[in-house]
Amino acid sequence: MQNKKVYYLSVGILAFIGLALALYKALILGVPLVPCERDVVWQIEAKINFDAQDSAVKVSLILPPSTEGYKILEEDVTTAGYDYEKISVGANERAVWSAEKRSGSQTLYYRVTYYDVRNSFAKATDESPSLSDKPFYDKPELLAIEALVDKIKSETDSTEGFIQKLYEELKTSNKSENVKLLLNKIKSNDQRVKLIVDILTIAEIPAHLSKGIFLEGTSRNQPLYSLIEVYDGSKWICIDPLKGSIGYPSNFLFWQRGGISLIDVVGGRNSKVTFSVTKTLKKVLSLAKARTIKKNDTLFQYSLYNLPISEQNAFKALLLLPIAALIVVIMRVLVGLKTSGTFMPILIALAFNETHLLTGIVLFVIIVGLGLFIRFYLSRLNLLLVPRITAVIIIVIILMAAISIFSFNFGITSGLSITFFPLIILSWTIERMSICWEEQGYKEALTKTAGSLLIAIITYIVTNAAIVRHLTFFFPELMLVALALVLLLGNYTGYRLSELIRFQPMVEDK
Amino acid sequence: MRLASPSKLRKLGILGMNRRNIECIQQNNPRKFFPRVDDKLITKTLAEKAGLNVPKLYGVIECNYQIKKAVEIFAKHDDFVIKPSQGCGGNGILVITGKKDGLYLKPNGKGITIEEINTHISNTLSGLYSLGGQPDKAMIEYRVQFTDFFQNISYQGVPDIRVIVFNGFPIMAMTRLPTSDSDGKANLHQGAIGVGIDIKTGKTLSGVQNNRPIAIHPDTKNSFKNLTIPDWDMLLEIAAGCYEIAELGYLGVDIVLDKSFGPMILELNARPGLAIQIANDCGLMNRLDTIRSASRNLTPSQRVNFSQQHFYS
Repeated sequence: MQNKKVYYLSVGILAFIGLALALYKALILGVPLVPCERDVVWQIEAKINFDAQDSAVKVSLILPPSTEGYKILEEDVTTAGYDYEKISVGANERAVWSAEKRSGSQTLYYRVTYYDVRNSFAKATDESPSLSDKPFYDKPELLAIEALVDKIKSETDSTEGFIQKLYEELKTSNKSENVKLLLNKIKSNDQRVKLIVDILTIAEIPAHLSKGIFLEGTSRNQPLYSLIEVYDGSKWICIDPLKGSIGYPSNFLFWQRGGISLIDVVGGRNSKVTFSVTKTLKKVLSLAKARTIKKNDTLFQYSLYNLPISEQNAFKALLLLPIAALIVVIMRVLVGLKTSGTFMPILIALAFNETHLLTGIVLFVIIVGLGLFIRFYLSRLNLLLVPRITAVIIIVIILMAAISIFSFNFGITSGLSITFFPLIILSWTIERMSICWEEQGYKEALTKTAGSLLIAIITYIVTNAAIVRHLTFFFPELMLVALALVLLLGNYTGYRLSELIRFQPMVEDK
Repeated sequence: MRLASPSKLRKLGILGMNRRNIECIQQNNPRKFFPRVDDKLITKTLAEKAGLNVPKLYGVIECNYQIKKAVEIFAKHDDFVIKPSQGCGGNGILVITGKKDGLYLKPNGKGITIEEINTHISNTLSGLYSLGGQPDKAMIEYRVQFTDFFQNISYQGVPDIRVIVFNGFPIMAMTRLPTSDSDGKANLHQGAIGVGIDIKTGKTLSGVQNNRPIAIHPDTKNSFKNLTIPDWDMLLEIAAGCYEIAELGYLGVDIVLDKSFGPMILELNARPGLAIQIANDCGLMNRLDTIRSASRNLTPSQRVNFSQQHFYS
């Protein structure tokens, strides 16, 4: 009995602390309880990695041009013992870190927060751009480009028309010899983009490469996205070089324009810059900041919102797991749904996040169905357990590859997302299902799998609700409430919903 | 689909899965004793030591090099059963009913060679039929000669009697009758019939198949009501005695009836299901409460007496 008291007390305390903290944040500090676009700010973080060469180091990163549509709320850098300054070079600003002597792998962060991001894009403003210098090409290639340019120019006058024709030439299935020669050496998207800029330059159309970030959702450790800006004599137009579409995107932040280098590292090798983006709340940020200590490096240590953005984004996903697990607990203890594998539905739900729901369900059914079919054959071979599962794993991989290739060739790119399914878990599901099928009949096996799928779908829907994502990330203390709930449910001795059906006949005749 | 109200179920004292897991299994069944029921060889050894009736063990094959010796064991007996010691769901059980022309006969009259039997044993040892696929042992034991009692109310397979024993007291019992639906298996959720048995008299009560009341066997068309199970008191005493060997407070005891030896323990179960309540049309909770207040220091036969005084339909 004493134990019970302690148990209820601790459950109560947990729930109280969680709720009290959340309410304090919401009511006193004013963090909104529901997602609200007005308060949204975007945090962008550049992460610089390089290997220092045991000498003086100077790193300079170009900063995004200041523009109307994006107001800077704050800027923030890790200095890690470096001297830091912001300098202006021409029209651009650069962040510069320097240190006497460094060796080994180095990581630096530059973080900027924008607010009041309206659907305004920062067009290039240069009114009379000069042509860049002619790019250098070998004679045959230069001739090929010039021939291509002449051909297109004879067909169209406008710059926009030129771009469209150029893309047609590059994309068409019966390419001219000239285009083939040019595309021959293209190995990467970057090279392709450069080729397009060069062709435009040779055609005497002012054009430059611009790099930046799409402000949408969250992304972790991505390189910058390339666009081409072209001046048609009166205004700038923008091309998405990979898609071939024309027009300024509405939510693109230009970071770097023209031929200016993104990063210069003196005294270091293998430098790399990646960018992470996250959407957060102004209020949460100002709170995190208020708690900081005056001096630089020790600041921001005790809050989730001061972690590097890539880690914050990882936590956004992790913080959803308690909710997913809570759903599993509820479905098993209160509803009594039969599932195969306790937490398998969570992993399936995570995979659905990548594949989208409908494709996810179809892919799941296809792969488990085919896997089962082959597993039935394996069971006739009387294999030992571990070799048998290994065989299933290999077969599942083959199936995944086959589905990917098949769907890609039929132009169904969504089939490619099959790789997001947790392979080992799928193999165990197939194994368990086939054993269940043999021992307890197909009905039981199908019921269990359907149960798992149902929980996965519910989990997917719940964890994708904006309100759930908002609450789990901005009120992580609610996890304590989830913990209290799970502890309570762990002691629940009442009936399950399924038992109300099961034992119904016993009540009927009374 | 209709739902029963939870308050009605509670009034009937019906035990739910959550309560069974927490109050019956977790509180009364220490995990360290689970191997005593999960490994049939341990169960059998313990039961024999305690003088409880089990099918006699002819021999055990523990590793591949012993398979050669199996034929010596087979030579001494006309009929026998080969079983995985940690099998589940009745998988991997090979019954040999006799010998003819150097072949071993299966219940369906087909003959198989000694090599085929040895392959079966080898598969058993490698864990093909065991829980989780871990390496296993093959037991060779006495083939139960079933009484004629069930002949008219059973379809193939092995009808058995399940007794729930709580703290050593038999509190509820049923017999499980295979049907053509259940493919000859005595498993209720595969379509076997569960028939409740009155603890006091050993008389069969009403039956239930797939959660629905049923009065006659769908295959043999015979009624199974009001039959008296032979050697009932002895059967209960054996079931009650299993508490001492397994030391599990909440225990399912599966018993079969042999023509010449009477009730025999087939296996024990540390997580017996709840369907027995439907077969008896009676909840378990009141009976559990009665036992909780009963004296702890009784012999198996005293406990059977106590149960028979308190539990009747």
